[in-house]
Amino acid sequence: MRRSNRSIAVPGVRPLLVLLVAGSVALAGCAGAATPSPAASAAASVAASVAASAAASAASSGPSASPSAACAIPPCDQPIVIGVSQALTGDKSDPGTAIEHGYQVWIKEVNDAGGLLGRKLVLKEYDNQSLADTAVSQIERLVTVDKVDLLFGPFSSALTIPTSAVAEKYKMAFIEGAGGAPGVFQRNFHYTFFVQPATAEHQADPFVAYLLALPADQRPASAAYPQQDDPFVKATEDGAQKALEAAGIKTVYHDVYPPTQTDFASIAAAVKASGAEVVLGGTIFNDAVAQVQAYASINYQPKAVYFTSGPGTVGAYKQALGSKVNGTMTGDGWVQTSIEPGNAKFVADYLAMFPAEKDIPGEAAEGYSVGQVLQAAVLGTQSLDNTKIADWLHANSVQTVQGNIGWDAVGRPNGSYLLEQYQGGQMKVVAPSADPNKNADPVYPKPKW
Amino acid sequence: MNPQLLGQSIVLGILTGGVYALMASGLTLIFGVMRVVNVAHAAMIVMSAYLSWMLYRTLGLDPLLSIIVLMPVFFVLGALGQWVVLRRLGGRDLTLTVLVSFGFAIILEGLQGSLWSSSFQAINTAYSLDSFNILGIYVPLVRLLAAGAALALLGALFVVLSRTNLGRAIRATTQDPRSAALVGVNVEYVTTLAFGLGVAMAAAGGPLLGMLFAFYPATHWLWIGKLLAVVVLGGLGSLKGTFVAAMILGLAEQVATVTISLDWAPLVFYLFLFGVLIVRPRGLFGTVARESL
Repeated sequence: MRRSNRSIAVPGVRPLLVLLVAGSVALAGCAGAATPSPAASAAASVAASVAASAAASAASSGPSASPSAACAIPPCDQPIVIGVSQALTGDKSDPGTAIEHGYQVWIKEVNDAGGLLGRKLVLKEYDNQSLADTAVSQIERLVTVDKVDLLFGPFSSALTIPTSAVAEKYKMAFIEGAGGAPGVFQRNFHYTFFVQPATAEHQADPFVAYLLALPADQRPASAAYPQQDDPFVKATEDGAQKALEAAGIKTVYHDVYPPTQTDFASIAAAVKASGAEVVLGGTIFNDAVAQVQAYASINYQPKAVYFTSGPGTVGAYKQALGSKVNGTMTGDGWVQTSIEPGNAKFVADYLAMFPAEKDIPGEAAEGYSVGQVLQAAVLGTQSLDNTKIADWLHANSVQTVQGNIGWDAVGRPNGSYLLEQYQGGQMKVVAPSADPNKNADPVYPKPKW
Repeated sequence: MNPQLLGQSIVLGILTGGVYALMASGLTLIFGVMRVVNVAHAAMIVMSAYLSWMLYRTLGLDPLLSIIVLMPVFFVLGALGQWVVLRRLGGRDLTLTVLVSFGFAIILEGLQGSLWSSSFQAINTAYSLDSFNILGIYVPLVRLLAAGAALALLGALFVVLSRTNLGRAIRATTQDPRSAALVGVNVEYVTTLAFGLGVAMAAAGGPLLGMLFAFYPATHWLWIGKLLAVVVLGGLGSLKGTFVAAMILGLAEQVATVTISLDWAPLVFYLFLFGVLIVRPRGLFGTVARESL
């Protein structure tokens, strides 16, 4: 019998361990890139939902639901199928689900009014679990296997950038409500249309303009930019940082965390120690909630806090933070009290369809607007030909609940955002002053957490 | 470098490290007696976090108190699973047991996803955002409570292992199952109890994880990486080593967050691990076992 010295107790175990540690590092890396593991996908991705019921009814009204009574495009007995790969689970599930609700409200309105071009609408939907790769293969499948007539985009630029390439390849109009980062437009796609008032790099413009218009003795001297690694966030944050630095507001903190970051204690400590007077948080949703909690728990009281995304998902954000929402600002294209044509009907229909919710998330309005744009293009062209639809959208603008939106040659919208702030637990429009939707003055410095 | 910020991150590092230690303790205990890395350990912790979250939402049970409820339940389920499934596999092939635990992790993840969706969740209590200030350093109350609970449970585990007959039997089995059997230890029985104890420690870690960090079904992949780093750095099977390693890695992570950059925080964790293993392959407190081939 030979005796051997082993560093780890049992022969044969160490190679296995090395493998396991290496494996788990790799897995942690995978999980860093995207939240859920492929393991759960098998079950969840088959969450195809048919949002249209066969309940036919003739009664309808409103500018957004003007059906053509007779069927114009055969096969008349078949519904028009719209394909969607949506982030219904994973780290983008709150805003992703909200957009999906917007689609559903629009489809119900159209179907209740007799359908589009005389045909019913059906949503063919897959859950991409907030994973870009999954979304890409689902869009491929929707076009090539399911052979859908039309497509809607997913939530957020991170998923829109890769999926829009698939749509472009198949010459499918890709009308999307939540992909506004520069990466969406840099490839000069003809078929992609972003349905918000402006692109991501301009999202914080009203906030920047507001800060710079403050009297000199109130204007903040320094700003912090803690941000998630995300193309939309980066575009918004870079745009704001550049403008504020040019105006002499010093950058005292700038750091980027992965989408899977769940511990914000040290980040908050570092932001506080930087002495930043305002925080521009580059957030999607969960991280906005976690940042507020971390700042509050170390008693960091900046004069103003702006989040790129998160506060707009009103119900979920309020549920997570309670009264701590007050004072936080965000940029959005829509507010529940908006006086845009058709908004009252959207709000009423949404609340009727989702009676458990009192506050409509901004993303739902984005989803609904996507439907409005598609409807206008289909009616405008009297066709389901995606090339005709894309050409029509490049030449026209559409009245949506987010305002009147038109597009340039690569699908960039041509409007501007609203600056919104929570006051007394309600989302208020506080700037620009000239906007007819403005219904409150900004509170500055913000109330303490 | 701002000394106050450094102090703040050191305090956070120590408190977070304490929780890491508790979460890793069950992993090292199970490895000790079974020579098997329980890949599902973090998935069990996340499961416990979900259950604690449910108990808080439905019954208003404080997450710290839910530890008392969840530990016995997990102990029984763990011991049962070991006795019924793993005991039979382990006799044939150790690798098989690892694969089974890997599969179990995926099953748990799928179950959590279908029950609670893969959205982020967190346990937010009335005192979640409270903190107190000592010399300009903010100590978040939940982290202090979590670290306190972790320390108390680790202390209890240490007492069980060092002062009780069961503990002595577990340690004997850890050192050498065959010799333990020779002196009258019922190794199968002890292994089952130790496995149950390890799973119960995972149950204790869940509510603390849920109070401190957001979680979702796939978070366990991030955590198992961290926990393996902790137990390997500490020396597999060593509770003391796990505690020290968790403190070191917790500190390294938090201090790197504020001194270097956020990108580096998770990397520092593994760089530290690889560095130590190159110099000292058996980990900080790992023992050099002599045995026959």
